[in-house]
Amino acid sequence: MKTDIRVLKKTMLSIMMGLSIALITIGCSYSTTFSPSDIGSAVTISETRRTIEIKPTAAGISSVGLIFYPGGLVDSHVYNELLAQFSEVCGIMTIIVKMPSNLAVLDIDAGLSVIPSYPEIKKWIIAGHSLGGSMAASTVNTNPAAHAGIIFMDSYPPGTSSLKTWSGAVLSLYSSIEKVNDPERMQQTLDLIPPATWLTASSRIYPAEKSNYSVIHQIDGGSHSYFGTYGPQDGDYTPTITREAFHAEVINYMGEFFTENGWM
Amino acid sequence: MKKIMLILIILSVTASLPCLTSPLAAAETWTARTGLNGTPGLVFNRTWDPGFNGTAMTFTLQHQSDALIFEAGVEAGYSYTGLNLLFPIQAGLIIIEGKTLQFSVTAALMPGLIISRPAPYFLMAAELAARLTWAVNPGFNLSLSAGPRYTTSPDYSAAVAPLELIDLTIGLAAGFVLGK
Repeated sequence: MKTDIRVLKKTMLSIMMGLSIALITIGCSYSTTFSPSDIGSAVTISETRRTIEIKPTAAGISSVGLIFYPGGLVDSHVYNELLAQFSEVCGIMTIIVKMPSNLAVLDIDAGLSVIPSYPEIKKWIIAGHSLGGSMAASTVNTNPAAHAGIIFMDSYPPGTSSLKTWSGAVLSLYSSIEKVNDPERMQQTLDLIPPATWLTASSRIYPAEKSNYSVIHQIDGGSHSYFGTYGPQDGDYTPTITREAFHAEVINYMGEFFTENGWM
Repeated sequence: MKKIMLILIILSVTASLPCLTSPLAAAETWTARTGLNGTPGLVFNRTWDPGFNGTAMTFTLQHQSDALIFEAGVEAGYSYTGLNLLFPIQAGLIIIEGKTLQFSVTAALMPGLIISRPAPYFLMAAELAARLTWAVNPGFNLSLSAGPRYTTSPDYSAAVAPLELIDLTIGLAAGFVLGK
């Protein structure tokens, strides 16, 4: 009996210490590289334990809102700068959903709990960066009526969450030529999203029918971490354009996506 | 919030003073404790904001001397700021000591870190808790604790966003008596 207790003790202590070490090793999130004062005064940013709300201060806020899922192991505040600019330019309320341990996979449907708090918002678009985009696709897959559109930022749906037949609109933004040029990954993505049209600087033609369609745009010279203000991330590409230029292009295409769909 | 922090620190120091003045008694016990903490949140940045805040694993070494408890160790867990690592230093008083049940109150100061890249942020927490311990057998006990915890990170507040939390910490732990 004594031996059993000793074994139990050793096992439990080993497991707890092992899990702690594993958590510390893998759970290290990227922090921001911007100052909160960098955000302009054209938006109001307020925060709760679960969300960061970015609200345009100008009158006439749209009845369309954007829910955003951060990338994996990235502090949710790193997207404040990009999304504050988007909210300011497009007049769209944006809600960044904070994820447990900064991992959207731990609370895939977190965005759904946001919706009842904003009865004035009649239509929700969901967006996500990297792992956040994949988890956003999962929540759209299981709740197709909750969102009218989805924006992927260096992201794609997981194999189990195909949006191929979903009636909503998809915008997919890629930051790097390497990802786009990976034929296998791109084919996997194309198999999981509605029929796609590529947008370029010289050809920005949207399908006439604004349902069950995708538009894809590659931003040359950007890096994965450029969607936020952090990094460089492990395995990231060396950017050849500035973060400001990258953000301007992202906002330009997001704004066009909203306009084309009649959301602003 | 600063006042609450100050009160918790004073209580923590007060609770630990008797150990400096009283001679060590014969009834001394060392216990290794490991457990899980859940932290339902109460206040976020000075606003009432209930909601689940996170979970943590704890590993501590406890020394009991008569009615006094001293404990130190590590707590690794997550919250909505990411992974947090705390190093609790705890002092407590045993209020009721039964044959198999023990009721105690503890005060803890927990310096720590929000683990992030490229550099972590300094984190500080203070906690008051009530703890009920059940001795399953002479070598093993289970305990349930609950109490308010104040957490802040001036570093994170300055660099990223304000961070001040009051949570209700609920802990479940197993204690392995190492020796008397």
